[in-house]
Amino acid sequence: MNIRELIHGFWIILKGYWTSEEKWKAFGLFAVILALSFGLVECNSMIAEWNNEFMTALTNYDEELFLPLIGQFMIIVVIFLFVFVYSVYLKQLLQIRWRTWMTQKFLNLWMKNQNYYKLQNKADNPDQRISEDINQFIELTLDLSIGFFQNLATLVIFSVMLWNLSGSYEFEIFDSKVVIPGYMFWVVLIYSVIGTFLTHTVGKKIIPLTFDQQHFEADFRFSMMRVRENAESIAFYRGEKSEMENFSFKFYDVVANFRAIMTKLKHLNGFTNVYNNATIFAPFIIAAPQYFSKKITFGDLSQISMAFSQVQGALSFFVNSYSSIASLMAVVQRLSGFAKSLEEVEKIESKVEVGAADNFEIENLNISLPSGREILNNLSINFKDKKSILITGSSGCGKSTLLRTLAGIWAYARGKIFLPTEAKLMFLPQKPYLPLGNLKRILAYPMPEEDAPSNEEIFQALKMVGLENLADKLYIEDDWSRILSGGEQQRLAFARVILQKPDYIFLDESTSALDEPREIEMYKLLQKILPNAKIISVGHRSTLYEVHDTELKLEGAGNWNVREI
Amino acid sequence: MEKRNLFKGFWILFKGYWTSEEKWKAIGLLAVVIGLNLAMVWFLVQINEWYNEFYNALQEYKSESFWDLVGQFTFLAFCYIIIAVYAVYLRQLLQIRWRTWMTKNYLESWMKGQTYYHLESSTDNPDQRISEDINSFVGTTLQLIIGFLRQLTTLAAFSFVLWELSGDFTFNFGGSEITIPGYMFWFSVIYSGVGTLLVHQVGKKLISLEFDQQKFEADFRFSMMRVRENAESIAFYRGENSEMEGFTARFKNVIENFRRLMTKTKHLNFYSNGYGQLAIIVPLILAAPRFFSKEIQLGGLMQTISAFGRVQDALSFFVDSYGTLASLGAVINRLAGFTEHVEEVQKIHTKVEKSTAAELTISDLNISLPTGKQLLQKLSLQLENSKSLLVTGASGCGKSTLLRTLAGIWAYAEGKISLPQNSKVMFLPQKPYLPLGTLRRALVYPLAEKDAPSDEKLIEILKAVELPNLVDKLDVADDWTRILSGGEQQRLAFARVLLTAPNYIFLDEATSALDEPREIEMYKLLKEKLPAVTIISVGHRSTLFEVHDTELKLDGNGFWTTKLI
Repeated sequence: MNIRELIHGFWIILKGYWTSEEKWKAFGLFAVILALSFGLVECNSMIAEWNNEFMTALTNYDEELFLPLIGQFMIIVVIFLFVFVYSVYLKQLLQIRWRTWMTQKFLNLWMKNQNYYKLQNKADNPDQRISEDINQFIELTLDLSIGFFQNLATLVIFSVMLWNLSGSYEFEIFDSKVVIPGYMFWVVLIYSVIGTFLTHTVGKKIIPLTFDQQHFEADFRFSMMRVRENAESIAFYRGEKSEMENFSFKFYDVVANFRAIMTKLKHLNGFTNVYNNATIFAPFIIAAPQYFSKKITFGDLSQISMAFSQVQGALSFFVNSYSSIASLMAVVQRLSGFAKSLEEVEKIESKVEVGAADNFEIENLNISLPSGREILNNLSINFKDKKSILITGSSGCGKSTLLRTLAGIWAYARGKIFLPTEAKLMFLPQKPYLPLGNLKRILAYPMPEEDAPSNEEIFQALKMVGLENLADKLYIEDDWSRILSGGEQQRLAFARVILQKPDYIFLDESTSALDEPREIEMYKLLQKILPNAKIISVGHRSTLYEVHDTELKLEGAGNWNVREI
Repeated sequence: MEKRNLFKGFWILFKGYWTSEEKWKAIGLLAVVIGLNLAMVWFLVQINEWYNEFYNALQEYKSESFWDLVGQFTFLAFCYIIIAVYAVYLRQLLQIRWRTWMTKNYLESWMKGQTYYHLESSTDNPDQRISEDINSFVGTTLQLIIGFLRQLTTLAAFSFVLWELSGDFTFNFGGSEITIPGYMFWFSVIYSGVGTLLVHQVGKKLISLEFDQQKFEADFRFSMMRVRENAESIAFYRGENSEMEGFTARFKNVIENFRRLMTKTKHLNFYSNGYGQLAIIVPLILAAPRFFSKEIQLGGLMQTISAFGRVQDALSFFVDSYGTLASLGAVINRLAGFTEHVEEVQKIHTKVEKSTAAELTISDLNISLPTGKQLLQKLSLQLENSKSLLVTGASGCGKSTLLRTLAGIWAYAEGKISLPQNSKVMFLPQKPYLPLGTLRRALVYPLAEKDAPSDEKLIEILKAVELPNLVDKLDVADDWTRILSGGEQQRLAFARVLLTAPNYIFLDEATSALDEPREIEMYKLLKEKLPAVTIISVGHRSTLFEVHDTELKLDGNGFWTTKLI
């Protein structure tokens, strides 16, 4: 992405909320925050002025001025406190409102039209985009915009103050008198710009190293995570030595990079320490000639040093915001990439026409791979006299893709599919997805919670599929996909079918983890409980012929063949 | 864990490195770091005293001593900075050395005796223990020890300074004169102690809210991650609405907690900023009487303020380190728990006796589950070399557990297993674990990459298992588990067998992802390329009978039968 595209992307992401129905609230809040920020700057300038008077009073031993000045200070501080606390609070309020709005919007986009499925093969991490990047985008944008105005105000107010305090500096060159008005302002300007720039140059090298450090730590940890996840396979292979070798490599990277960070940090620490100390000290040195010639009072001296550090802080904000802008741009890039992929997949639509008929019928269905290779040519089939169809074929011939097409989630297909109106379809994938939550929610999935079947029905269904031991665990929340074995999970999926009573059941190797007798048992159960349901299965095992009446054999290269069993 | 055990746990974790062969280097380094920190305190005291002289010079318009003092400060600051930079650098050096030592140690004991496999069932996250927890244990411990010593010295040194500066405070009480020596010291201790404690009370609640915030954010993100990972299954089920419900509920937690966090931040900001501002004015008020009575000069006043600040910093370190201590406690708990588990599983030893015989002989083998249920009773059988055995039975009857026992990774078994001397054994799990890295590494696993046979040989074998499309990708490093389909991975596992050329091969449903003709093909390939190999398989499919000589049928209640096929 070039700069122009980035700015455009930033604009697109930004404008959503600020043109939404919430925009007036948002603008109002932003205006209040800005006003508070200016209030903060004003408080700071009041403190600097106060400091002058106070120090002057001290050096003059004006005892009667002392207590009133302390009182004045307390008033300024109380105002400052309120302004500061509420500027932070309202900024967070705006942040969370904006985030809520954006998160909702992105979640809707992601879920709409099964975009989450179509996005699957893109390299994006929708979870990271939605949870972290949105938050970061908002935080950085608010910090930068509010910081910009606040520091600009600081710069202006304190520059003027410095200018007025400093007087002019006179010197002679070639016998002519040169007068530099407001010389302290110029000194602080040059000093801060050079100093901040140098700090930035030294510090810049650490940023990629810290980034690498996270990366190496993650790699190291990931290598161990894989061993944990594949412990049994590795134990069978006796792969300990190979793994240990791998750990050592990964950990070596961690240590070597840390050493590099240490060295760079040493330089940076040394430099920033010098710079910070010098900043405390520099104004005294610069103003010393004026002070010792009694052109300014001790109070002025002290105020100069405060103004100096304010101007310096404001200037370094602008130099340092370079890195914030860079990370904002990275976030913009990720978010607009995500938005773009969402738009793209949104456009993908299956060219399969779905019509109404008395029977399930497929007409001239063509399916191909994204690469363009055709895997099914002009498939036509009528289910009128058929109860159950077994789709067979060697692996990779397109059995699962045919099922995807029938489920309407495969885009590279055209043809016609007829279904009775109001027919209830249910697809059983090989991996019976178990959502997070209690067992009841898992069993009722994907029905929303209020439509969930009664416990009585659930007990019945569990009993039928041979999972009666789960009956008393309906309300236990746990990671059930870890607790239940593959076979148990597949039986649970059959319980879902019994509970939801579909008219058409599509099974994509949904019995692969069951042994052969159990598999047959499950099919017979379906045929008994849902005698009118039609079954369309994809499966490898030859025993499945026993429970189907028709075979659809995909022969690869687009050819197919239907026969009765 | 109780408090006492926490100390014990800390001591056990701590002492390893400090009594190891590296201990002298470590103790030396620690001594230098502590020495540098104490030197820093000394320099801070010098700078504090310098302030006194500096402000006095200003007050009295002594311009000649001003420039001397500037020179003095430059020298002091220079020394201080060098010491500070090296104190950090050497502490990091010690940290990385200690971490390296501990990480190696933990990795070794995790890998030893296949502990990683036996730990599988416990809830531990070894990867997190080893990567994060060790690092934070080492980092936090060093920080606490060094910080404690340093702040204690600071407290002592600046208390002394304050005492010296403050003089006596005399007042009348009931007609008798009471004198408080070093009153500023007493006041600063009480003021700082009470103030820090109050700020800490408010801040403590914020810490737990921040912890919750991270948890809720992670929950929200995890719910989205699951949708990404199970996109196809969810698309099949049309589970969008149900998922959206889950997202909304989780995001609500994020928002609500953030609102609580905002309110608490507001309170803390009031306290800590108010306290911070007061801390500027309080020492002034305290020292003012002595200043106006000319007992101290402007320099003394400034020195008092600075010393007051130091005392306050030191005290707040002790109060705040409560939080650090609590998180160190949590880390110790986790690490000590992990160590305990490792030690426990290392004590588990299988009671299966291994010996040698002319052919595979199993005698009186009893296998049970951890629950005590017996899976197999007195299994005795002999398998002639180069014959093949198919283990069958309903799911859950113990087929895989029998294989685990033969592999020596199942602890709940007793009996005797004999194999010919020097026989090479290989186990093929159902999930053919592919390590990260190049395809070559995945192919020759568990051999190290450098021990790999020639590419020619590898290519020949890849072709034999019908993976010719991979021959030019041997050097491509990628996450091969994601790229290769289940069937391709299982064929890759067969390639490993051909490379290793074992005498005995145990297959645990190692062909489950292949279609039936391919499965038979792979078995025939084994017999063709390794005619002498003895095969023991576990499998569900009835077609497997075709390629085995003997069947061992398990009924799951301990009984078993063998028959020739």
